[in-house]
Amino acid sequence: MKRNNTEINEINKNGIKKGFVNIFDIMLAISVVVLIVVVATKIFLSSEIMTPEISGFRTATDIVAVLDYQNVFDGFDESFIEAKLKQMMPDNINISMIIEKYDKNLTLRRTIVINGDIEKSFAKGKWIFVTFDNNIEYNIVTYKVNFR
Amino acid sequence: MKGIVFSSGFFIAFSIFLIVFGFLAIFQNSIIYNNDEEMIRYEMDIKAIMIADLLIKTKGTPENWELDLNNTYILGLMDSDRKIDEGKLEAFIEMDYNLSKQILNLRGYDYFFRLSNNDVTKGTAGGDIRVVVKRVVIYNNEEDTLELMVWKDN
Repeated sequence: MKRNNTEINEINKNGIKKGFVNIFDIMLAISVVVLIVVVATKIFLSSEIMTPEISGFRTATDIVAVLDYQNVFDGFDESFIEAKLKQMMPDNINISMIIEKYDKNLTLRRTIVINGDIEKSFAKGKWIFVTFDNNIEYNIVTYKVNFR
Repeated sequence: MKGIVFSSGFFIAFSIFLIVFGFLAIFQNSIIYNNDEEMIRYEMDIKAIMIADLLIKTKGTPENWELDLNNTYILGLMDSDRKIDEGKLEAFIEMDYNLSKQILNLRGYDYFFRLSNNDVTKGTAGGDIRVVVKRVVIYNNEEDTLELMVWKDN
């Protein structure tokens, strides 16, 4: 069977185009996949490692607990609490606290802020304790932790 | 025209492939090395955090382990929450270093323990890649900082 020139040219043209598209596609696809794998591995590994935050938060909780056990919160003295906090805080982390005192009917009586209020923190916790001053009082310490 | 399209397309694709391949070949070692180092550090971090937790939040097993060091399963220094028991601390400091490593499940690692305000130490600080965990505790009715440093042994 005889084909005319225009028909043959069309077939060749399509064949070359297909070959070009295939090679281009394969190489581009391999490059993109390899890049994605490398970047994803890096992101996955780095997002997994959060231990400094865990450790920092534990240290902050220790500090709040020790301040409580040493009855530092009892007097509700802002400057005394702040001085004790700064004495215990490690160099690499910053801790701020909001201490709220409630009476036996759970009505908020007083609030003090220690060491400012950290806006960006990687962790936040609460410590609750009870004090007796003729009447029972409930205290909530909300603390925020960040790296310096 | 067809030849030009083919060769320029092939050239672009091949160039992209070579750039990616070259990038990987050059940085492969550092990527693997960094990931290895990060993984080692991560593992050490977790160990240090867990051991520090055990030491300051448990009494150990058995509770009076300080009376018979060879039958100690878990080391704990706690008297009450975050308060260090003097007798337990003394027993821990005097315990054989390798035995303490074994009980703390630290085979393949070394550690250095310190209560900084009271200058109580165990082990000798070392290691190129090491992690330090600091916890605030009460010892002798005063606040103190417990430092635990962990690194891979040689």
